[in-house]
Amino acid sequence: MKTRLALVTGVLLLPLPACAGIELGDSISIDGFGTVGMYRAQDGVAGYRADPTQDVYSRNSTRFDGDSQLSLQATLKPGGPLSGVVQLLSKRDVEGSLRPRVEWAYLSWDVQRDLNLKFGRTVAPIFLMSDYRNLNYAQTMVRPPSDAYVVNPITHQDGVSAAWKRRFSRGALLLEGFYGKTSVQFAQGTVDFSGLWGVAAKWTQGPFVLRAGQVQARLAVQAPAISAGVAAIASLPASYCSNCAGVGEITQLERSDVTIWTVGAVYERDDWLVHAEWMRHSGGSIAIGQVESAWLMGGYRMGAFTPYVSVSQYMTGTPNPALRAGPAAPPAVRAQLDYLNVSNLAAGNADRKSASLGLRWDVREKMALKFQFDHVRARAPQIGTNATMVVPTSLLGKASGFDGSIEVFTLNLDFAF
Amino acid sequence: MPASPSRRIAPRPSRGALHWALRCAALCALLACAPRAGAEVVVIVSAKSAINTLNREQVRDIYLGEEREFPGGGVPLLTVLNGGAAREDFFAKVLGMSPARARGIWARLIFTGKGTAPKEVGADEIKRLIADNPNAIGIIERDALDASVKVVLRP
Repeated sequence: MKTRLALVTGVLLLPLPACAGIELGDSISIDGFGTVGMYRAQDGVAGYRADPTQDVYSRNSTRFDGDSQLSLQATLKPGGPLSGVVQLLSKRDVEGSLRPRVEWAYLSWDVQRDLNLKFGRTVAPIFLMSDYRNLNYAQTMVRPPSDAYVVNPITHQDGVSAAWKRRFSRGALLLEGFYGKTSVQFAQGTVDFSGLWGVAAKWTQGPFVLRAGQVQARLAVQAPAISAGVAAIASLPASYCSNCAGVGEITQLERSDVTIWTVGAVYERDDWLVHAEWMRHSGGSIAIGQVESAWLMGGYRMGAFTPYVSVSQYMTGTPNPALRAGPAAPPAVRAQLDYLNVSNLAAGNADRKSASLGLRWDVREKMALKFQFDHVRARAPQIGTNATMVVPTSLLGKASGFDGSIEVFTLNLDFAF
Repeated sequence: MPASPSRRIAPRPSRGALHWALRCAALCALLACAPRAGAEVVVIVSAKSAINTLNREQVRDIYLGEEREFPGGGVPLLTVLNGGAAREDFFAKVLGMSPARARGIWARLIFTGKGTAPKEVGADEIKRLIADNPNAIGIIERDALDASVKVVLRP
């Protein structure tokens, strides 16, 4: 606790003397951003993760990880069309470590006025907020809506990306594309994305922004516990389970092709702001299969204060694996098979709707204090744990008593320097 | 007994007092207006620059990273005053947003590698910086203008 408190205090004090990025000569600059965050999920049974790539969660406890982070970026601009960027990010990872990771490291080349190429570790422009997904200070809410952004937690990719921008009389068109690979660590293991590519088009006209994109990738899940579980199911004799031997074909752990479609829109006129996004994820893996998700946020700027409301939802469409009990299956095995069917082989059912209410206060330039209250309603609270909510299943033995609703309170201080 | 004692308690102001009050009010108004008049912001480039005029949208696009080059070419070096009423005017009249909102946009530009935030400098340095660099653009108070820089926009 002492260490955590010292860290939070240190992070809090760090930006104060350094109000502006540091310039080391004309060609190198150091900039940074961060968040000192605090969140609490108000429920005695179920826990809630502010960040699904962390191992920890809040259950009637106040946590200082979640959104807390510190990032430093070095930009090298020697003049001319080439520049380089290295960005380090320290945020609690799945192993509980704050060890800084290389978020971006790329060489940027302005091929011509309208065309830019980047080589190395760059942003993977998948969603409306992918560009600044980690940069909480540039967002109105405390974090991108979890119900939508959990669909794909990628923040960077290793490869090449291209951006072409052209102004027209009525507006501006930005076309982006990327190709590469990346991997994401979860509490249960690692998901490798290979052959990862995507395209997106963004049209900006006056107060409107409209964005649409598509991303494809091949997933490979390395999760020893999940693989062992699948192997255990597959080893059930036909007399207990008539079709469990073929369960490996359903799980698609080693290989699964996924596609994501997104459409997003922004309207910002005078003091009003409305942001919305819809996305669909298709794939056959039990790690993540068919998902449809959407969010809508509206806010109003009143000087330094921006109150906002948001609604979002996450709905899965993954088919039931339809494991069938064999003639000799005892009641306990039948119950287990029923549970595996409704929980999509224990992957959980994360279907939920959320409503949020928040206030952003721009305390001063480059510093914002945000408070947000989320009410999350799970559609299938009896099924148990998923990436965001941690709750014992009620389908095997004693009912957990979880009624499906969680309230989450967040207080974050975001800054840039 | 006087017909109207209240008149004695609150006598009509004398001609001299009224005149003094009016002069005082005029002076106060002048003082109140003076900083505004002096703080009127102008957008400037170097006297060596080939650019003679820009409209508000062009300046806004350049400062918010929507446009990476000047109309005639050249990557802009963005500068902005680090304080004062002219700076406030610039955010309100040219960018059309609060400094905090502009900060959010600049932070996005920096941390996505898509652009840079303006260099924030004092009134003396900003003029020297712009005068020396044909690609620099910035703001100053109108009263601080001299021949080393030229105005491209009077918002």
